[in-house]
Amino acid sequence: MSVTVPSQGSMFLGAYRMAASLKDCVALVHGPSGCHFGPNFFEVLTNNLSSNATISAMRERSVVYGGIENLEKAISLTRKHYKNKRIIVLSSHVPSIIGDDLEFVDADVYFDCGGFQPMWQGMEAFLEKLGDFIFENEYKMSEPTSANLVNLIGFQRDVVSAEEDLEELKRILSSSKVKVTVNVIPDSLEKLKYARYASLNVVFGYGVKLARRMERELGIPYIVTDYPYGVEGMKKFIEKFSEYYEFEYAINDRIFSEIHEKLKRYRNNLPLFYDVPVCVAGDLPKISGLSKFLECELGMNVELAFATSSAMEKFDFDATCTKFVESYDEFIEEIKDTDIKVLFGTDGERKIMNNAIVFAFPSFTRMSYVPYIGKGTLNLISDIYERIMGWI
Amino acid sequence: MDLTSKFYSNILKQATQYGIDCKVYGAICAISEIKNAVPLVHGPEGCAYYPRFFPTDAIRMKLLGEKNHPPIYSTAMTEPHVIYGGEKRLEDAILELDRREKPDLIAVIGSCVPAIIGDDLEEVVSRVRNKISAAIVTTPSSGYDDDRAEREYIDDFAKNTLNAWNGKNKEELKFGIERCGRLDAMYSLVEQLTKDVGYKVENSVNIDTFGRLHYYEDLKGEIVEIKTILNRIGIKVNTVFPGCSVADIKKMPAAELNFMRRSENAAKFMQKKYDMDYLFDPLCVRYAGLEGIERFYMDIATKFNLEGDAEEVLSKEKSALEEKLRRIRELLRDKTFSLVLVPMTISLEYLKLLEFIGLKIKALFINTEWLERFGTKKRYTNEIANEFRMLANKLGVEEVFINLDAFEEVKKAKARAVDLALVDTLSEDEERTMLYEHNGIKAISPSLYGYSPYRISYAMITRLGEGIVRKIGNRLPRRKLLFFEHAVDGWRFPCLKDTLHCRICWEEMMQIWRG
Repeated sequence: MSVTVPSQGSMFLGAYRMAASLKDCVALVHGPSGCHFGPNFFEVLTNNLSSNATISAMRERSVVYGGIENLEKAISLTRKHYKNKRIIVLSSHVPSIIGDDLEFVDADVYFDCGGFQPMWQGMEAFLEKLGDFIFENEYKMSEPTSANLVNLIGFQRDVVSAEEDLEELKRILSSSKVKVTVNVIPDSLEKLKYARYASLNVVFGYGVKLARRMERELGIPYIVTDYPYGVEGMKKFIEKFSEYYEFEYAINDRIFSEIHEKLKRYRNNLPLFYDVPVCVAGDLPKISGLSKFLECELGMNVELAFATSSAMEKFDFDATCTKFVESYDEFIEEIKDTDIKVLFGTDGERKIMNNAIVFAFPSFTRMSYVPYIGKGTLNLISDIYERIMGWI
Repeated sequence: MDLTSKFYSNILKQATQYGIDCKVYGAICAISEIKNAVPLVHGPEGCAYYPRFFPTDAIRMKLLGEKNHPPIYSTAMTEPHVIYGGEKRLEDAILELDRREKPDLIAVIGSCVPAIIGDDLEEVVSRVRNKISAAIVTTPSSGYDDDRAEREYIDDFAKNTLNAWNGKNKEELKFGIERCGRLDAMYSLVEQLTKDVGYKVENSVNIDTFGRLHYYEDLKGEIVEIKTILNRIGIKVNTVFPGCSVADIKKMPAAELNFMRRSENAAKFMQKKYDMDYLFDPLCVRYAGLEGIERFYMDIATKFNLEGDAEEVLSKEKSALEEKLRRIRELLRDKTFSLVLVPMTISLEYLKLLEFIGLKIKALFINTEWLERFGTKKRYTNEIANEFRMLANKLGVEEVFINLDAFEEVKKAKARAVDLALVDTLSEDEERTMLYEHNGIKAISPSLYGYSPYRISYAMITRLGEGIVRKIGNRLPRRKLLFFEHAVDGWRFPCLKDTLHCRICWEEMMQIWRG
């Protein structure tokens, strides 16, 4: 296929998303203005407190004479306004092609993401690059591994409800017999220095290469997981987790009994969910987790699962029709032939069904302060119920 | 209330606080304003990914009645295309797109990558032109090659604003961006789609319209009104461009006159190739305000020796307007108003128009934050503000304040007990209106009532008057808005103090962009 409607951004966007999530850094986009406008658009609209990127604003003369002069000016300006933040230069296509040499530029991190790979590979590659900060400490391996530190790698923090989901995840993990402390990657460059002391890496779809490297060089084991939506999803996640940490089942019960108890109040509504055809679109780690919950626990039928972007791990979900289409218009064609009642997806899917439940990147068209995972399962169920009622 | 327009305006406003789009998006918008046209972005996938999430072009929505963008296609260039060239890829993409989607027009939008590696888009397009059913154009849109960034552009704008108020004529007002994504695309459409049709439609004119991001304005209403009045005078509108079909563009040379509001290059091209005269007014200097509307019709009519007919028609239009305004003026007789505006070319005529409707402006707040945000030098904004103060005083505005912060401004308006505050700051009108009402002063933004001083429309004047009357008559509920529970900067209103450094950094970054 030589013409497509892109369903995901480029490698550059993937790197940008991870870099902009580092709270003690600023991403400086080295490229023309448009390379910054798109990612910044998603960032600012998703979190009004976050505009964590600047731009070297390359023009024609930069293409002719090189863009270093612009970049240096932009670095100086960024340092002036973003006090005490480290600068990550993300190089887009233009400087990569013209061969700007950034070796001597005064930035803390330089990452060439002017490649032509898809977004998820940019996330992978940037997270792998963060490994340099984990390994730069020369007395590596000399420190004892902390028995209760877990790295959560690749958790997408620029998606609606991400912080609430993360809090919930931390709450659940802290219920284990050995109290678990969580180190999230990406969070800050500063916190990366603790990553080496973890006894387990949990990879949420992206960051597999980093986890492999940490296993190879530091002996830290890793598990790769999709997003653990629902009770069963979380139980499975805990089961995997329990291979490395002791988790009391009594605690497990305590975590979920609240959900079951509250659900009783509307229990008789649950048959309404049964057999209802739905579609799930988004990145693979998210649609995998959500599809399993919808089918397994609510009895809905995922008629179409569309992976806007892939991942190294394929997970083990088996929706009727899982698509890794090259072009978004193929997905549009597919969905036309279905009788979907509830659509879960990204901002893009709102144009197909304006009451779509937005849960994956990009997600600036939804406001939420509640989680969807853990006890947030109840929020998810109530949101789905609202959509079903929309058909009545 | 049109919530889609509200949403689109809102998200654009947020995004442009810290960023500026590139030529590819401008070109995509221009192409999306043509019926059943599809943009094909020749470049990496990322360039065509983001625009899918940006607001749909307002002209597309209002003139073509389309809710969403057209699908934005990409040739999805990868490393091999960079090494060996992407022309074959582009050719295959065009052929596939034509076969698969059967559009009326394929517009090839070249992004940075093919521009650097030297893909010859024009050659590819001419090679495939006879192999496809769709019409085809190509437009150069590498993001780094953008006239909007030129320092002269922003300075010229300031100088021309002063000139406009001082009554300079068209020849002395040298202005017009020609190499931004949108105008490059418009020029490409005219250059590559039109050809001599072999006939002329007597007394006919093409009307160039604009407003890709003008969600609140009644773009369609303006065109309908222009067509109706011109028709009464005896002049036929041949094509409204854009917001039209490919066939409409192709027949543009059949008109005798072009009225251009954006691309003078396109007008010059048609003048040279098809011997078409043109009128051009990019800053809306000649055709702003009540006199401007009349001048617009008279200028066109003069080209066809129909001045007498025009005078007669316009006389009736003005009488009808006076009649509609009579009741409005009566209701507004004892009311007082404040107005905050960014001084622009149309501002003086705007002020006169408000007076014509019957508004007594008690306090005028001149605010140049918007101009400075986009890089106008302080010495120009000072000059503009001072000049406008003088002109406003001459028009009888009692008190004029320059560059108060938003909170000071509201205090001043409150102290003067104005009945209604008019807010016209180009981008943050809703938030400012909220601030007024939060402080117990009724406020409206004329643009939210579909009025724009840049539009050539009698109906919009009436609508504005009616909106003002309605607003004054409505109760103002007690407001204690959550929106103002956070610390906000009064100058860069309503920027959160938490993110003020990002905003200031971006403004200074614009200087790097401008070189």
